[in-house]
Amino acid sequence: MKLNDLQQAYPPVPAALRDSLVRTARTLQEEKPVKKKLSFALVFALLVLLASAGLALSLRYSVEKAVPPKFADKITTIDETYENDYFTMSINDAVSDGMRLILAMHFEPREGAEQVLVFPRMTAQSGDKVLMTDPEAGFEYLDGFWMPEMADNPAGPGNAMLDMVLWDEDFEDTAAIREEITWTLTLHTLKPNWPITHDQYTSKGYVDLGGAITHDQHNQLFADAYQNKEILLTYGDNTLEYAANLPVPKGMKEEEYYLKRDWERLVLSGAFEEADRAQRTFTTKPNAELKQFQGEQVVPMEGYEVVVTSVRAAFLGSEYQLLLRHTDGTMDKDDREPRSYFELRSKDVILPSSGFSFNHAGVGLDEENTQEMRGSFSIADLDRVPDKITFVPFTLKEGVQYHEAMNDPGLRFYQEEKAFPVSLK
Amino acid sequence: MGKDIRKRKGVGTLLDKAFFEQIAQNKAQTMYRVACGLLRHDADRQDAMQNALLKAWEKRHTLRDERLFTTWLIRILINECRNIARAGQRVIPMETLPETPAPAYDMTARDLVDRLPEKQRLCVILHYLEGWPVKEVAQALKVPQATVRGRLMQARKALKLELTKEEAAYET
Repeated sequence: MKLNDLQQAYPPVPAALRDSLVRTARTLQEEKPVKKKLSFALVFALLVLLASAGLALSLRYSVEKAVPPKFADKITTIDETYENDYFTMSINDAVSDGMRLILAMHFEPREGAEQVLVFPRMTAQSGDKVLMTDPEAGFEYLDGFWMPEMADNPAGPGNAMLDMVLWDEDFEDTAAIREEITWTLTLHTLKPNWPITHDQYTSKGYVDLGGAITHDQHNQLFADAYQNKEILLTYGDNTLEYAANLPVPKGMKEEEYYLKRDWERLVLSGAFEEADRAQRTFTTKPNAELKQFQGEQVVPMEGYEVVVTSVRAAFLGSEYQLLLRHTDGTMDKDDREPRSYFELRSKDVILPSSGFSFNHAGVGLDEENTQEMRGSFSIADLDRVPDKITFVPFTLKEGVQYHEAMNDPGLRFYQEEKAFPVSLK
Repeated sequence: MGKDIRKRKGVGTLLDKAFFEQIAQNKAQTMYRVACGLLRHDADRQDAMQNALLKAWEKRHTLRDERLFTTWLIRILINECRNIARAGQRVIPMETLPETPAPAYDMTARDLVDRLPEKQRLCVILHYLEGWPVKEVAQALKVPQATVRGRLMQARKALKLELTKEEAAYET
C-alpha cells in the first residue's frame, strides 16, 4: 500500500458534523470577568510597595492564575529551593483539589555555568498509598528542558508550571485522598558530553522536510549524529527525537531498554552524563476540598428512578454520574433522550454546567431499562466546596434541542417539587 | 523550555471563544479521523468530538502553553472516544445526526487500517494521515517517541502483510 492509498482511506469529516462542532463552540459560555478598580493613588502605592519588596518577589511565578479567585486561599506556598553548580530552582507554590496538582516553579541559571539538560519527575503518595499520576499540562517540562533555556519560554524565562492529575482509580479510596498528599519532585541534571547541533527540518516548530529528504532519511540523521558523537536537537531544544533514535546498548535486551526513561537512554548512550540528582518533597493540604457522594441514593420519579452513583466536587473541577432506571417499561432501546435533564444548585446558586453526555447501554448496566448521564459542573461561584448539591429535574418543550433550551429559560420546564439533595462528604 | 512556534500575548488570551470556533472549524478533520479510528458510528464520533471540545473549553485555563493545544485536545478526544466505546454511549440530542451518504473512498485501505490494533491505528492516523511529527503523536498518546516509532514500524509491516494477503486471496 502506498501512502496515498492510506491517506484516501479515511473520508473527510462530514459537513454536518463539522457544522455541529462549530455550533457547539458557539454555545460555549465565557466566564464573567473579574473587574478590579484601582485608583491612581492605590496604583502608585502598590508600585512603591512592589519596588520595596524587591523585583524578584513581584515577578514571582504563581499558580494563582489557574485557581478561581474565591479559592485563592487553597494555594499552598512552598518556597522550597534547591541549587547546584548549574542553576537554582524554587518551587514557589502549588494547589491541589484532591484530583489534580498544579505546581509553579522557577529556574535561574548560575552565571557562567555550563548549559545542562534538566528532567523533572513527579511522584505522589498519600499515607501509605502511592498515587498514580499523569501530566495533563506541562509535559514539555517533563520531556526535559535546557538551563539556560535555548528556546523562547512563553511563561517567562525560567518559569515552569506542571499540571498533574491523579488517576481515577485513586478516587475510589476517599480516605487516602483525605490525608495530606506528599509530592516528590526529582530533578535529573544531565551534562552533555558531545557537541550540540540543531536539526534544520524542525526549526520552524514542525517537521518540514520540504521534499528534500524522506522521513526515513530524516531519522537517519539522528543515527548519524550519534555515530559522529554529536547531539542533534529538534524544535530548537528538544532531545526526544534524538533519544528515540539511539541504539540499544550492547548486552541490554530491547524490552528492557525501551522501558527506560528518556534521560536514562541519553546517559546510557554516552552523549550525556548525570551531573546531579536532587529530590524535593512538599505536601499539599488534606482534602477537605474534595467532597464526594458516598454510597447509593435512589430517588423515585414518575415512571423512572434516578440512581446517584457518583458526585465529586472540587474547586478545580466537579462532575456527577446518574443512572436513570425506567420503571414503567416505556423506554425504547434506541431512546436517545433522557427522561429529564438536571440543573445543579447549591442553596440558591446555580452551578454552571459546561456539558454532559448520555448513554443508554453501558458496561454493567441493565441495557433494557437504564440510561446513564454524566456531566461536569463548576463551583467557582461558591465560597467553599458544598456539603450538599441539589439536582433539579427539568424537561424541554417538545421538539426543542437541549442547546436551544440552554439559551432560553422559557423552553425549560422545571420540576421543583421533584428536586432532590445529594450529600457530599 | 518552550518551542518557538508562535508567541502568545499572555496566559489565556488566545484560548477564547473565537479561538475555539476556529479550532472547531480547522481541526474537525483531525478530530474526525481520530474518532473514526476508535468509534464505529458517526453519532458516537460526533458525541466524542463535542465532549472533547467542551472539556477542553472547561479546562483551558490549565493549559499553560497554547502551542500544545491541538495535542492536548486530541488527548482529551482519545479519552472521550474510549469512554464512549466502553460505555456503549449514544449521542445526546443536541444536533440532528448527519445523514451523509457513504463516500466512495478506498474502503480496502480503510479496512486494513481498521484491523490494526488500536495503538498502532492511532499512530498511523496521526502520523501518516494527519502528518503529525512523532514527537507530537507521542505527546498525544502519552507514550515515549520510541514506542510510537515501534508502533508505526509494526503498522507498516502489518499493512503490507495484510495487503499481500488480500492480493493473494484475490488472485486465488
